[in-house]
Amino acid sequence: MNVLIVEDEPLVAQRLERFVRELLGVNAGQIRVAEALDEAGARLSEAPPDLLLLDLNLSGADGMELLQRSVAGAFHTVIVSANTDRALEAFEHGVLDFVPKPFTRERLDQALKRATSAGARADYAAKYLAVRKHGRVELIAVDDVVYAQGAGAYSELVLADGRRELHDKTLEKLAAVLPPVFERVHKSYLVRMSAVKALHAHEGSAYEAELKNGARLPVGRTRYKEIREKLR
Amino acid sequence: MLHRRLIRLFLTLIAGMVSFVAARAEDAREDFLGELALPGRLVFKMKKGDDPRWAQPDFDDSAWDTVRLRDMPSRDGIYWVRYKIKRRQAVSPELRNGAGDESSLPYTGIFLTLRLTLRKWGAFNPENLRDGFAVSTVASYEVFWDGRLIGRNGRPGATPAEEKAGYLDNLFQLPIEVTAPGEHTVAIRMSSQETGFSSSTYSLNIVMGNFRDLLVVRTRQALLSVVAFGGALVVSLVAGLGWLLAGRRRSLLLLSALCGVAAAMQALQAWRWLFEYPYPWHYPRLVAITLLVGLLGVLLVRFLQEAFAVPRRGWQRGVVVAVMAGAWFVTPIYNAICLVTVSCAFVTALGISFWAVRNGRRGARYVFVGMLISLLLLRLSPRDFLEGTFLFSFGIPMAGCLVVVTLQLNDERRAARQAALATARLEAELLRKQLQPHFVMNTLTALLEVVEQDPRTAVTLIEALAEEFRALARMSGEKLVSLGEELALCRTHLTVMGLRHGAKHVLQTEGTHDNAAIPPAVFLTLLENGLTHQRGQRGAVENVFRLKAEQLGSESGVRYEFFSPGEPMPKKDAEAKGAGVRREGTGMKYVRARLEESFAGRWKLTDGAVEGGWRTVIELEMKEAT
Repeated sequence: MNVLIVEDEPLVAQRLERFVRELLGVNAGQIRVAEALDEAGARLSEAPPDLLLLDLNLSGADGMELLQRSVAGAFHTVIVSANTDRALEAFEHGVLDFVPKPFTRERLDQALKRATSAGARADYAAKYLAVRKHGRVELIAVDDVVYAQGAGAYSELVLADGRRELHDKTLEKLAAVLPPVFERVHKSYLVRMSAVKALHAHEGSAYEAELKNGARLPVGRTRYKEIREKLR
Repeated sequence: MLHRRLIRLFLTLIAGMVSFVAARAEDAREDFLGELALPGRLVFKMKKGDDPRWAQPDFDDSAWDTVRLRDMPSRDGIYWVRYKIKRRQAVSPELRNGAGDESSLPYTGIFLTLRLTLRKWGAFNPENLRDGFAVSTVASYEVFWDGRLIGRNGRPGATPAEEKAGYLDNLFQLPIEVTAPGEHTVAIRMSSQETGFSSSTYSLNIVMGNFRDLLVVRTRQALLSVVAFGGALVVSLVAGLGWLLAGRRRSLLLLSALCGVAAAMQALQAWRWLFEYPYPWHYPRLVAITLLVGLLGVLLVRFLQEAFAVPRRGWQRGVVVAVMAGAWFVTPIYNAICLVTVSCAFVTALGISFWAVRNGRRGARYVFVGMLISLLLLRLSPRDFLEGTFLFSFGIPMAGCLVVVTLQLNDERRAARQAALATARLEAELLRKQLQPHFVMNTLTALLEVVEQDPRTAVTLIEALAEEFRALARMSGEKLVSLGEELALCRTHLTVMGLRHGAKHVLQTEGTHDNAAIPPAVFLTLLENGLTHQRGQRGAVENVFRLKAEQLGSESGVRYEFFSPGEPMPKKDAEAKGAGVRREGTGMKYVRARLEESFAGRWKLTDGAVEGGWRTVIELEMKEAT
């Protein structure tokens, strides 16, 4: 796992780096430190990390802008901050975790585990997903999302009004921050269960979920039983 | 609330005053016109010289010169004045249309007042016996009615040494037998050696009526003046006390002087009727009154200039004084001089208050309206304004002035309260600044690392942190601290930050005096801004902050130049960092608020990028502005 640490206090950055290396152990890939997100910009596009540890003070509009740029990325964002006032707001924008300063090893471990374990979720679900469009960042309301379709390293978000938006995160990462109402029905599909009208079984173990808007999405064989249970 | 009540009170008072004055003025006009419309004026004869036979009714005075009562010669030895009146009946009919009353004579303003008071104050009853003979003039005389001496005022003299001055006002009672219907001869033996007025003539004023009524009216004559005197004296004392006790505000002193002069003037007015004086005092008294009225006008203008902080006062006063002085040369009638003086002062006051209303001065509206009404009253009753209506025509401006002073005092109180609140807020803000999560939590996190990696440094860091908190707690309650204390705090802070950053931060000073007074945490804030916004501190061997102090000019002014090193960070990253975010964020707001608190209007702050860093310049004037 590649980690990028954005922290300008050298002692704190030092501490974070040490902890991350120790906690990840053999799974630690490239651990890099930058003083500011802009500075890390080049590196972000060359070799995007799996996890971003960001020191962010959410006072003022620019703090929010920085947050939105971060959560629009392909990587998980964990905020490590001294200011906890707007932690909830950060979660609503799709961060995976919020670690207050000063932090213990255990607390950081908790955050890292969330990033590495499959099926782990953030404590609070996102209300907005940030998508990169025309060089800017736009916020999509999660309530508008019907389902997400995997498209290689990206996800395609399908909205209620039929629009489609591209998000940089994989379905797996999206699932970690989206509310539990979204289920991974298929390798390539993450669906809002409340939008499912019915499940259909066809010949040859082909299962389908019929959505209220008429769309039909495939359901993975292994997942079918679970989904059916959940629908009941 | 206060304003509405004030306005209502004002309006009620004004309505009352205006109607009173208008009624009196109405009368004045009517009577005067009535007088002029009299058919058949009385004929007055005069002869210079002295002969007791001239008192006799059957003496033939047809060869004598005819005179008008306003042309009595001054300083011209003894002379006699004779006239004949016909009485149809012992009691007089209504004075109003003057029918059958040939002894109605032209009056001066003051005597007109007497007549008006006769009528209005109910003392006059047409049925009463007309046995009163009132004379007001600057002469000594003896009055003969049908050859019989009925009254004497002093002793007329052919030379100044021989004359004994009599009183200005006199009231004689005619014996009842001489008031019978028929023709009567009045002869007056008189001289005026000490007229006082420079003019060669003076006027003789006579009123006839019921003796008792005339007496009653005379005693009431001074009433309004005494009331005005009392009121003005009280206000003067109160304003004077206010000046002494409430910070020596010049406007209060001026108000006190203004009312004091008004009181003196009214005392002089009332003196005539309350205490009688020999006629030679009349001229100096009138001069004194006129001078006091002039002084009153100037003080009124001066007060308004002071209260409304009017610019270019000198030439305004100059114009007013010039017009007033000019009046002295234009007319010999002192009443007229006073009228011009007061009108000039009122018009100037009107102009000043109009300017003040336009420029948002407190209470200017009331003064403006008050001056309008005063001018109106003056116009309505130009003859009476020194005595009767003075209470109102000057009382209104006085009330307006009081309102202005009160409102200003009120404003000051409120401002002082706000200032106290602002200070308390700043104190709280200072404490909050340093307890902000950004500083404390980051420091603690760094501390965690240092404790584990380098315990000895941890000890230093903890001690420095403790010292910083201690210093802040000590300084936050003060408005001003010594520069030495502030620099110590800055250096402690640099120690803490240096340990956190793993860099060496240094503060160099040049020309600073440890006991100079500055508001707390001003340079600390600049320092924090510098640390936050500048790059090039990480890994740099040494970061040097510089504070230079120099004297400003000849005053006790000082100029501080604060330099923080490093290239400015891009704004976005600076935003992401910490508290005291932008250059003009809460940090600089705090600095400006503290500077304004202790050096209101006497400070200047400029900042900008220079080579190698950021420079902030603060200029202060230490002296208290007078």
